[in-house]
Amino acid sequence: MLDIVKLDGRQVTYMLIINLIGEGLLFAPAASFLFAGQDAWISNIVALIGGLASAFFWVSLSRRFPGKTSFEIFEILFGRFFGKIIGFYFAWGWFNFTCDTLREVFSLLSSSFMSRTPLIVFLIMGVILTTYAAYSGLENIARITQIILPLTFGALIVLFVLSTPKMEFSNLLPVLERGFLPVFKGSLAPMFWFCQVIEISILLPFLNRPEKALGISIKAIAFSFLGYELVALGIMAVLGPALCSVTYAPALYSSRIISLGNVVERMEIFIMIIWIASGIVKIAMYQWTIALGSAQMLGLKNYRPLVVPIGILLVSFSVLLHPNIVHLFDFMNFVWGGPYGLLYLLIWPFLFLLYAVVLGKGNDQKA
Amino acid sequence: MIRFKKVFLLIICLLIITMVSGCWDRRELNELAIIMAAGVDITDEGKIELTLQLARPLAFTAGAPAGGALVQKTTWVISGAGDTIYDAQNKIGSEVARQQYWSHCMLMVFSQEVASTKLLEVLNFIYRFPEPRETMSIFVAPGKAKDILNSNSAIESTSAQSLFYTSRSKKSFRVEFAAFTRDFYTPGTNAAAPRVEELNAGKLLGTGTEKPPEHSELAITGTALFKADKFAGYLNPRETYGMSWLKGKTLRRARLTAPGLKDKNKKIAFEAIRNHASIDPVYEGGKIKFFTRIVVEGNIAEQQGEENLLDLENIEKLQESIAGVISEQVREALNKAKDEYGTDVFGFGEAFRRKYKKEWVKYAKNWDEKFSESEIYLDVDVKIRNTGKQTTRPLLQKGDQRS
Repeated sequence: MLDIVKLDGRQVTYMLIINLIGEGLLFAPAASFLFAGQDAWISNIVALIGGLASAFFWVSLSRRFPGKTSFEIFEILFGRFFGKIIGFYFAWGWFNFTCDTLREVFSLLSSSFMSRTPLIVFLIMGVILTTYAAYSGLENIARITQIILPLTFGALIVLFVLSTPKMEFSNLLPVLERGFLPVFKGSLAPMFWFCQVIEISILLPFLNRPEKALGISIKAIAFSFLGYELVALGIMAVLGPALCSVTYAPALYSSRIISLGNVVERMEIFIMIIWIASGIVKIAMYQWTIALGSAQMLGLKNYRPLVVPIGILLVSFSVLLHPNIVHLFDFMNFVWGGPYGLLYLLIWPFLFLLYAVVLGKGNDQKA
Repeated sequence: MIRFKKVFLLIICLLIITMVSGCWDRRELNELAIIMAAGVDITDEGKIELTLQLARPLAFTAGAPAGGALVQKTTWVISGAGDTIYDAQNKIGSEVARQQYWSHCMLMVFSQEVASTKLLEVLNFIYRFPEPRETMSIFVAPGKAKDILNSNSAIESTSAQSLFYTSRSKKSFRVEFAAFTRDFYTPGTNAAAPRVEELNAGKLLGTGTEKPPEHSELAITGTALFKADKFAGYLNPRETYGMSWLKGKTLRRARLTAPGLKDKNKKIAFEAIRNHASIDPVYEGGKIKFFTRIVVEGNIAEQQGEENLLDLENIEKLQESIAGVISEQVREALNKAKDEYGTDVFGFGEAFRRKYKKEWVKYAKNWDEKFSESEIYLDVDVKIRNTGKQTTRPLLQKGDQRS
């Protein structure tokens, strides 16, 4: 064990929720709106099924190998060589997604608020923070989460309530206007975000009562689902399908329309605050995960020396991977929120679990 | 370790300072030219002409001028032409010393020419460019938008504020950019925007030594209707009321005059407080019928005749009389929009699409023609809630009474 902490159930729940809603809550609905239009809320229900399946696969897999993170499990399952290959494949996936998340959080800041500031400045600022957090260890990240998450949900609910005067729920009709296929297509992006419950496979060894892991993941997915539905219903009611589907961050634009008594206006800053705060926590958590996983695979005694290099790589790769916001948007919503991401988070864990069950590896009694 | 942390904290603090101050994007208030209102015209060469009303902070701070002192204009109206709005703004930028700032722009005026030829091209700027707010009001001017902006207000500092407050008071139909674009892009409904004109408003008090100057004030005089992305025609204020009842937009302080019960020439004034409308489409054998129900709540504000308002039956009759006036207004609006311009600005098509999504596919392309053929049934329900300070009018009990 490279980081000796024990987290209680609530901390892990909070971490998972912030992991699921982090920046996805503001970016992912754009993809469901694009395909499913006013039926985005049905897409979320479809996505929920995928998320729950992923949670079940990962938790069952991890529960067969108590006290092991997924990187260690791969080595036990597939032997040292192939286990390491799969481990690096997953570490790369994690790293790639963290780069994209980092880029996503700050490219909206740069496209909507501070267009003259070079993106790299934001990225360096953000990564300095996340590096500090990841260096400080898991427990500190868990505690930040306990502060940030209630604020995030609070701000979300406040914004929802403030937008009610502008809502027209008839915008949500007709249901299933173009059949079920667009709804399914629109469900892939939120499904990918729900499937990020994979983080439980890393956090589980640190959980003080591992037998509660499945309940915790389900609770986390349920809460995030609530957040996603709040956004899908509220924003659709405010903006209408035509406008929802053509913005990068529908939540940001619908919060710009809030105007209450000519005093409560310009609330988009709240969206930006919760976005950056939860995004930073999520990136810190992932940076810690990558460092821990790499250290476990490389056989290091301490993951800390890897944190800073990973931070530097995060900045450079998030600049290198995407030439512009369009590429980023496509990659996030149709590649991650599509075959690439779901292969990682839904198909592989299913196959791994199947492999483990068929070969009878690990401890199959659920104590 | 502790030393490392201290150094780290110091670095973070230094970075936060640069981050918080905004670095490349800092905007100092005294370096901004705040745009109060914007107008779009088309030049003779077919270019887009953008007119901005910029606030002049120096004039705002001058305080009340002493009698006879030169009153400085609080705004600077400046125009520039270009291929796009951004290009036109660029032309203006070469004359304005400060960086133009869109976030406080309260309204945007399109000339009728823009509305009928280039609206689709022009609208995108507001939605794409991060600075302009989606809450800005949209207006259509029959003449030049430039002339609308180049006006003064007798009561507010700038004419932009005056027009914005007039529209915000909901005395007439008003539309925000977000709702406007929503109607503009949503199938089954068309956009509408209030029409603005400069009307003569009498004479302002002069200094005594000279002739009092003529004053004209911006006024909202009806509504401009669109058909798809093209301007279709105007509704007058009375028809605008009719449209608003049907759209269910709340008209705060909408005033109505209805004939009295005893004598048709002695009127009743009614002030609407709340209104609500619902449309129920019925599709039978290729024919579309709409059953609309309009509910209006309000108070009696004035009574010319001598009806006994303490009598509940009279109240009911009055409600019917007012409902008659409302349905008359709605009919007038429908006649204009449906029969004359052939455009559905009321959302009938949307209601139809919501109820009959399969049948809608057939009509989606040419809904406005189909709308002209549909039948519309009205059911207006007026609810009188209050009658002001008085219960009923006292009877004139003098020698020779008037009948």
